[in-house]
Amino acid sequence: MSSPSLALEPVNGNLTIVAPANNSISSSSTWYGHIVNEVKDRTHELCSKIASCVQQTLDVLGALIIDANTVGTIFRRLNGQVYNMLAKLKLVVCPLGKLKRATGHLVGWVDTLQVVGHVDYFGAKKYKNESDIKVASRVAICVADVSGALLWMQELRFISLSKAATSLGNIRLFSFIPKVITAIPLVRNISSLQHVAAYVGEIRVFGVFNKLSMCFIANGALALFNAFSAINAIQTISKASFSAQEKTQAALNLSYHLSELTLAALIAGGVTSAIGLGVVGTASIVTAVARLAYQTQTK
Amino acid sequence: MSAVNTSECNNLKKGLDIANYSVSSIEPIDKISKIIYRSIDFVSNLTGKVSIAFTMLSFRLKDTADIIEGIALPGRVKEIACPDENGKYFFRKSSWQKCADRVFLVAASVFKTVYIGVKLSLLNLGKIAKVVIGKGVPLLRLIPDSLIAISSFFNCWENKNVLKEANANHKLATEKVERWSNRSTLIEQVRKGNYWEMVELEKNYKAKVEQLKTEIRESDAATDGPAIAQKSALIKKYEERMKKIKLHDNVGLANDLAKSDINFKVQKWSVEQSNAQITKTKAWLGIANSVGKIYVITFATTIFGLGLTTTPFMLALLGTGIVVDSIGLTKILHDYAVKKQPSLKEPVRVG
Repeated sequence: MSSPSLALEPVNGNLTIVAPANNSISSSSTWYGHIVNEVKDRTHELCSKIASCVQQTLDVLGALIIDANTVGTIFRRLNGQVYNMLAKLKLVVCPLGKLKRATGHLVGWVDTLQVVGHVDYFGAKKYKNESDIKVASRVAICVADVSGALLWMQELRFISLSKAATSLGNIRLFSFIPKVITAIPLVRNISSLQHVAAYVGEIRVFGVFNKLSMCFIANGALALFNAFSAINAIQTISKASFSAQEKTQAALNLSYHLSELTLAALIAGGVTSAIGLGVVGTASIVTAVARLAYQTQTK
Repeated sequence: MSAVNTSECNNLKKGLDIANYSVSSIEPIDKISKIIYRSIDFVSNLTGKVSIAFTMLSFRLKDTADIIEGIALPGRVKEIACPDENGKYFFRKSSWQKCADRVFLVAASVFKTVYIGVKLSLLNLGKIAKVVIGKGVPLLRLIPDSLIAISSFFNCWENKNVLKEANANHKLATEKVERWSNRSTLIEQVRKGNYWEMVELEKNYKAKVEQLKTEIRESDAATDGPAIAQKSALIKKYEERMKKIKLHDNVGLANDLAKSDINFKVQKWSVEQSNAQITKTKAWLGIANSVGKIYVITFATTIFGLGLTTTPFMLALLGTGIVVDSIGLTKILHDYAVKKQPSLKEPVRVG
């Protein structure tokens, strides 16, 4: 606000300082008025910025706690790596045992339910308009989630995976062939053909399940999902046909998937440092939140 | 045959989409968890024979529901503190009943978070955490439940008002659809000079003109200028039609009636009718959910407070809880799956 100026005007031949017509001096023209207005403006600006920050934080938090996948990721990393790091750094002020148990149960349940999402994806043919790499990543996460669901059901003792593996391993795919051969009148007496039919009927196609552990399958599929998703994000960033917004989203997705791959590589490599794993786990949480926050803000 | 197959395919896709939503969003997962663990507890109380697998599942789902309730607070605060996609704040656009509902819900969420924190040993409130009302209702449980009951009361009130308005809109839209669907028949009758149709029309126009004049008298000219101008134009239109009826100008009147785009009007009011029906269903589900919550909270507090935790009471409580959560889940999925159509606007006439 500019202060009203006092004018120099000739009055009776002499230059005289003339006060403004209304003769009222506004508060801004005095030094203390100027300071008060400045403080008011700065306070108002600061309060507006704080309010805007709080609203944006609430927006992100609100979107975060609705999305089951992100909640699952955050609690998985908290339970797996971050709490251990905090305990090592002696930053834990309360016992975390019950919290870890409860959030672990939530993560297991949420992960198991994601199988329904895959049924929707493949059942409704949503893969039709997607790139091959994206479909491949979807197949990988589907395998990971199905394996995870089977592991979860074994934990609850609904099924016994070893028995399931044995049953799967014993399936003889072509067992109907001997019956077909013996039904044909002219050929059933030919003993060589019967031998061949019996041999074919005994072939076990799923015998490999006996030898692989479900954990191995789940972890392998999850790593594959993160790898495919990272490649998809790189492709999005490098193609000119995508908008700046899509590329930024892809960059955030890439950072998340790379942090997950790093964590998987560290664990597979036998790294046991709680702080090291905790830092990477924290990075995974931060990147998961960042990509969801960007998605929410740009919707 | 192919139309039936396409319709079945679309229904299947919609069903899969709803199923996908129910497992990718935390709110329906909370309801599903509660329905499942209450069902397991119901069977356990009824038969006394439940396998260890289901017992463990029930335990895990209770933990899941607790965590989800514990982290719900930011979402509740966001609803009242942040503007919506149109930039409007909650307290400015909502009725006082809805505001009261949400305020009590936020307060309940705060206490629920504290209760879950104490349950998971994250918070230590000392003796307060051990205070029990009656024979078995922890204070930290009673406070949020009471606040939820009050919130549900206001929610019920709000939905009752919404239902009343939706019923009126639905009735109006149904009448309009019927009127515009019969418009072609009316125009033919007017062209032929059907006496009783003319008498009926004149009576209707007189009543409408009187009503519009009353509305104009009650309006504020300073603030309702456009609405008053619109009503005045309508009065003029009806008076011209009454003049044509008096002069027995059947053809002129029929041509005037045929000016409107009948198909558009039928479509427009069909959309309004469908939207009003959706609002009614949503309001009824809201009322049922709120009444159910008040009943369950009151019932549970009474039986735990009086120490009446015998099998019949527990079965009744669990059964009611399952029904209320099922209604809650239905409401959530209905809000997701059934959306209102945008209202149709009158096309701009050229020339």
